[in-house]
Amino acid sequence: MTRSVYLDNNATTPLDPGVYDSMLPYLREDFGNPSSSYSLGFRAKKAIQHARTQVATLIGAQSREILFTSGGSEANSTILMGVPLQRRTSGGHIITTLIEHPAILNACEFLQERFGYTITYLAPDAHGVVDPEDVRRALRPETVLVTVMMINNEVGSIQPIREIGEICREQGIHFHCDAVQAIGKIEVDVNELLVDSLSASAHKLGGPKGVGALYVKTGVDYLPLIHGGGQETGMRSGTENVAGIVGFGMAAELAGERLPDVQARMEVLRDLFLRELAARLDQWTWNGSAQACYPSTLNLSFEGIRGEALQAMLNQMQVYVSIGSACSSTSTKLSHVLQAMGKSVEEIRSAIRFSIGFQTTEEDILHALDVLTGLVERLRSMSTKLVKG
Amino acid sequence: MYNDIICEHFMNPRNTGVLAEADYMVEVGNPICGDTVHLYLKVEGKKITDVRYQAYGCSASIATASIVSEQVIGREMDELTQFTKEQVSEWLGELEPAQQHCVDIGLSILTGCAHPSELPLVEKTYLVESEEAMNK
Repeated sequence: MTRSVYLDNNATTPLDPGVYDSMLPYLREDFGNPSSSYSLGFRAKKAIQHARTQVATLIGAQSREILFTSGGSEANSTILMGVPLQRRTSGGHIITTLIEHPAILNACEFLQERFGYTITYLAPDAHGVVDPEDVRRALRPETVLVTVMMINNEVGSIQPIREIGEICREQGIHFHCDAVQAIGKIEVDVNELLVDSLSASAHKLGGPKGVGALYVKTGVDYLPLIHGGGQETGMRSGTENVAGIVGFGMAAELAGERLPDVQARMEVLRDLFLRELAARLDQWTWNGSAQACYPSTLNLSFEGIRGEALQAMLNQMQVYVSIGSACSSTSTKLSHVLQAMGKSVEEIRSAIRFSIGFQTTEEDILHALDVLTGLVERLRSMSTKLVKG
Repeated sequence: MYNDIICEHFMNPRNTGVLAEADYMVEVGNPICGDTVHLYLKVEGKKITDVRYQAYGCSASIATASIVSEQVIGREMDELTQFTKEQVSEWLGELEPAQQHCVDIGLSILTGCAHPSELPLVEKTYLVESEEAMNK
């Protein structure tokens, strides 16, 4: 059987076996609606409360500050709609960055188009990191929200959240952090980071898809996105995804246990990848750096070939990676993140993202490199682009 | 995901490389997505006797060039203009809407090979894209 290597953990992670086990009772015998006033319902409610504590513990929050959602996008949209529109029904100002996830960028665009908001997009440096002082410079009297991601999904760059938090706290501006790619990878303490809200997604840390969490600091006023039966203290109605929430709680607990070693482990694997790649191939560049990026993400450009072709071939060889730029006859669809980092069109088109997970082994890395090297050489041998050397 | 025909061809592309004794070089490019295919033709009279190609492009354009290169070898140049979009579609197999541009790439290769003298014989390394194309 051909070995398969999954190196797309920024897209999603496999369900942790411990998480799977924790969810099973709530998919079978404990199927009750948490709002029901009999024991089946009580058990479901209790399980949600336990999961809330598990998630809160991972990020240093209080249980009552955690709201369960359908995922990271809903958590982000809840704040992106609920905070600005609670403060100004039109004409407000939001500060964000050019490298945010579409969940943030498209929500900002919506506010701009439908509610006359003005959006300031901060540019990152060549390594994909924004300058906190740019936030200070962009502030206006009508600024109602600053939203900056913690770790970028395409290149892994870590943003100076605490420094931005200080500026926002000093100015009394709501500061939201999309921490979907950060939770379970680095220590996230909402009090240390001085964030007013923060979003997370279960399936990025070994949990199930379809469940996310939103931290909202006690006392923050915002409007609910989903209206209905008053679940989640009325801020997110809808019958809870009990099994999903239980799974998220367990994933958070297990991620917390892995946390002290996870970064060092990722560094070992990343360094192995880079060292071996350098020994085997020339003419590739790293769209990021060891100083700026979390070690689980490696965004690399291979000169002379298209990332799409390489990814499709890797897929045929059961090595699973991602590309930021799709090919289409009608649009260039170049990665907005790499563009913001000042990469050339050629570099962007030849980029591939490898993202390591908690389950990735050294053998996985070495096998992926064997396959990768052969395919890059094959594609280069047939390329119209001249490759030096 | 691509169909089995496309997958098989991009994993095992036929007729790749350069023909040292080529009579013509044909360049087919898509200025929007940046793909370029260079075809080297060996011609006897009006008959194409051999083809090699190089490609800088997505997996679908590599596969398309491979599939069409097999159709071109051994044919009279005039014959190449007779192929319809439907026939090229049939060669490529079922495509998703976003992959339909492969048919156009295939047709461009056929047109290029049918009229090689109308195309420059100088080797171009890069397809320079206009700002306008990039902003579409």
